[in-house]
Amino acid sequence: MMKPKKLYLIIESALLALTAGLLAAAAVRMYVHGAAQIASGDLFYYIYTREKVGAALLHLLPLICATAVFTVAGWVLGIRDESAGKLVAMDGIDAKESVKKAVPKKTGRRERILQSTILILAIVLILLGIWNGGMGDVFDKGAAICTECVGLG
Amino acid sequence: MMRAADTKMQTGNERVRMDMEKETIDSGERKEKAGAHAQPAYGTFTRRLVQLYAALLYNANLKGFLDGHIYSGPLKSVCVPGFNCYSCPGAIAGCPLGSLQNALNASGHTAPWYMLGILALFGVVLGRTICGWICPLGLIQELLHKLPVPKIKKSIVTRCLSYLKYVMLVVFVIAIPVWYGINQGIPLPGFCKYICPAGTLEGAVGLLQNKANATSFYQLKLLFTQKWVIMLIIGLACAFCYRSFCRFLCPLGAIYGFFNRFCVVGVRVDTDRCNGCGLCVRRCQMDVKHVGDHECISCGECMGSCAQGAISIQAGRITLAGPVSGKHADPEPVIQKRRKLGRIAWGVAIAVLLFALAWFNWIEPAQEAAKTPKPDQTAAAHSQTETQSSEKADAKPAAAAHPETEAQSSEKADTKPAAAAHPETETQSSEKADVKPAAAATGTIGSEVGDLLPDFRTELLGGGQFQLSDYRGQVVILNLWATTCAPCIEELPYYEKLKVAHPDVEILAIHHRAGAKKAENFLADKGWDHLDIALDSKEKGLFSLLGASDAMPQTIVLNKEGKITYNVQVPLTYEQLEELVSQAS
Ligand code: SF4
Ligand code: SF4
Repeated sequence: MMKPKKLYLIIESALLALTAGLLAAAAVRMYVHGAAQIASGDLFYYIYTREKVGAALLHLLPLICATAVFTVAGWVLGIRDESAGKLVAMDGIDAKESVKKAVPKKTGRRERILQSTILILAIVLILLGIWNGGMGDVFDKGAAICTECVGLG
Repeated sequence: MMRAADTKMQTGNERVRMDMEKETIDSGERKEKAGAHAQPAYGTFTRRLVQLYAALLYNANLKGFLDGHIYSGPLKSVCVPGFNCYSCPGAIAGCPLGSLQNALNASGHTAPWYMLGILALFGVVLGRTICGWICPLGLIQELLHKLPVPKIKKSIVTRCLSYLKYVMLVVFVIAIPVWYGINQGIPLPGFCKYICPAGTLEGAVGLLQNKANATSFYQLKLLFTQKWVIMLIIGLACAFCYRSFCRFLCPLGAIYGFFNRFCVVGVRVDTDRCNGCGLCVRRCQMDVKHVGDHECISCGECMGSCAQGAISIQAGRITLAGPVSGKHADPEPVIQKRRKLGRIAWGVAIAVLLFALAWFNWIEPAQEAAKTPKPDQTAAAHSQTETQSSEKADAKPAAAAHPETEAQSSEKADTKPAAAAHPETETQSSEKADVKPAAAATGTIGSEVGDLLPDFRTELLGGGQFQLSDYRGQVVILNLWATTCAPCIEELPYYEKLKVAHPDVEILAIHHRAGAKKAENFLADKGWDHLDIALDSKEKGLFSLLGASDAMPQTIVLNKEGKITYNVQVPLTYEQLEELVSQAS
């Protein structure tokens, strides 16, 4: 007999995977349909519109709500994967070596020199960048929406 | 004799040390069995607050979510240290990774010193402490991990996967932008374009949720579908596997990881206290081999599991967080002093946040509004046909202010451009246009389909002036573009070709105010001699006059009456342009 907690975790995983899967499938379906429409010669067919996306989300709303309610219930009841907080095996890591390599509390001379050198270099590079227009480039990109960056176009 | 005694002593010390280790490990296991490890380490709550604070500060332009516009003030020339998309309506500064790709894109003509300097500065001061404390994407991943599902623990497999982010860095952040920038002259931020879930979530979803950007949906094609699916997969993975994106894919983490061993702020181990029990590494959910290595995000979660009190978070010699209880706890006065400093720091931080919220949401917009010329005033100043429609223009400066107009036009634009959806209207209007070209134009001034675009005058690149009302009786196409926008650059040659094929159609390409000065250099060798090109500026405010969004490219087609027949932010093909011209003629 499966423990209720374990059962909950399995159902929650299935709900989450299903929600994500159907959200992905809705987009893929919309795209495939739209691409076929465009291929058939409809030059101005818009694959996605606010209305179409709204309708698709509305279809999935019951599932999204069910997943949300189930998740909140789990939180309220304090259900979670207990093994998550446990120690994991070192799995091929040598503890002794690990200690030797850990970053020590006292910063060594070498580290301090490296810190100062990089700090100075960074400031010089920034000043050079302001001088050669690199800073302006950052502004130019940030001041208008990069439709490619966000996946719009 | 001596050597034998030494060896004996060493063996004795070793035994003592091993006993100590065993005791510590046992105590760790005992604590774990008793459920002590199920408790969050001290400092978790503070870290969560800092993460929330950073997310809010990076996105202090809250009004952007309401009006659907991004912030485009001077602060966009600097970057925040964490992952935060600069196309998010809330973002007040640039994204370091997006800006780096952009800088590498431009490396053919401008060396990327600025971004290298910024990343080196962030790296040497904070290292991957940024990932653990002030990265909004890190926060989202950790919240997703709170979902009650079975968790995949770290193992040799996840450790191998953690090297994938270096591949991401080399291929998507460095190679693709450099290759396209130098060889093709196209700005192509590989990681942003093909992978970045922050761009999809904060940028695309953040913008599309606003009704003002309804026409941005028309741009969405395969790229969005693919990025949407990637975002969902990454989100789902984060629920099951701690910080999956951060550990396996994030190139920014890969960059900051290089600085981790010697950065000023970070987690450190007191080697005199440490007995090598390894509990810290076993407790850590990241793929660290030792505390503070390139995978360590200085979250400090391991501090609570160290029975020796050997772990602390340091800023140089100053201890920011250390053991507060147990036999290795810092002395009480030290803890009190640290708490006092912490309270002062929070006071300053809250004051900064409140100032930022006030500045970006009220003070700066009010200043901008006072400086920018109002669309209807400018239109009235230049227009010859304004006399007929200026009354209406005063009442209705832009369609966005009139939800009913907007709703109508968005319905029209649902699947086809309005002209195509209403051919009979177009025929009537073109007939009228033949009879009374310019003077017959009456209607609402605005930027929606069916509106009359406000008249404006601007200087053209290479001399001459463009006045919109001069072209009444002709089809006019306005293309809004920027050199930083790859789809715009790919689309512009079609306009040139169109102009050659239809000399009677007036085409004006207006460059966004950002980077307008560089457009001249960009255009120098293109040989697009038929296009009229104008550069926008803060003073001219052409984009806002035309009711343009911040997303480009945008195309506005006016028929012979001067009425808008098409106004959408989407890159067009040559065939589509031909179709739009024939509809407007
Ligand atoms: S720092 Fe890590 S290895 Fe050293 S004593 Fe503490 S928990 Fe053990
Ligand atoms: S080693 Fe400690 S500080 Fe570093 S990531 Fe792991 S738990 Fe966080």
